[in-house]
Amino acid sequence: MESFSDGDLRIDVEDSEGGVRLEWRGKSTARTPALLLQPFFARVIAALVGHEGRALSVAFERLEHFNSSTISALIQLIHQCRAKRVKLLFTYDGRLKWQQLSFEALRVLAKPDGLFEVRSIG
Amino acid sequence: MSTCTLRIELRVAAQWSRIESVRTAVGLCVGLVYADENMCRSISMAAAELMENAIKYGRADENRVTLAVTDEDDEVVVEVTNHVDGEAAHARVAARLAWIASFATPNDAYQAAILAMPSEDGPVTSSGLGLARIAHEGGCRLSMATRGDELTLRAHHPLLVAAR
Repeated sequence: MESFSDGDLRIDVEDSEGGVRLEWRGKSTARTPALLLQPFFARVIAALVGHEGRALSVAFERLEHFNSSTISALIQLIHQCRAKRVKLLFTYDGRLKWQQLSFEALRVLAKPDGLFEVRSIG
Repeated sequence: MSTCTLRIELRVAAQWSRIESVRTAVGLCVGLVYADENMCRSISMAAAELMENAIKYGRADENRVTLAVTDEDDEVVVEVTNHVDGEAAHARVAARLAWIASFATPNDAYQAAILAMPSEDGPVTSSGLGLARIAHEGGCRLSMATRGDELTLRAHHPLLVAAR
């Protein structure tokens, strides 16, 4: 699977037996990031659907900045993964206050089904 | 006597491509005066989100957006002014600010905004998260002022450190 790149944002893809890992780097500042990201997310999710035990891990530790429209696109990703029963993990750098505030708030979307998890790294 | 040590005023072209440059510039300028990395980040994020709002929801024929960042006594204020289409636009913003203020904490408001997001497929063009994010992640109080079809949105960040 190819990585994603748009402006100052790059998302590297690492495919392994356990699942797919997306590593975000740089800045996500597009006006409508969902338009760009959704086709990419759809391909990633399609590669995981029906493969129980393979999860999607999204690493934000190297992300420098994102706008609120990007957060909206990530919220959609959470909903889409849940709808397809794909396990999703967000990791962030807990030493960065902005990342901690941003990602901890997304825990509100975690449910007892355990399909969405947020974890602090560092 | 004014205690102001920080005063930035920019009249920027109402173009999306300018927002990231403004965010970076605001962060650098605030960092020159205040040695608080988290505060610099909060204020620059608030500036970018307010600019995004102004460009997204401002009048289509708007050429310029005015951004000001000042400190006064116990707070830093980020202020973005633009023109909007009439009273209905003012009322929408006022309702949004009142909605955010109705929660016990900014975190509660932000999480309610997250839960209110549609879960269906399809690109989201307007998230409604921006102002709640400024309150929650940015730690800012929000206010607004109007004059004719002009709208000024302000993010007030508490000043917890002395100038360098």
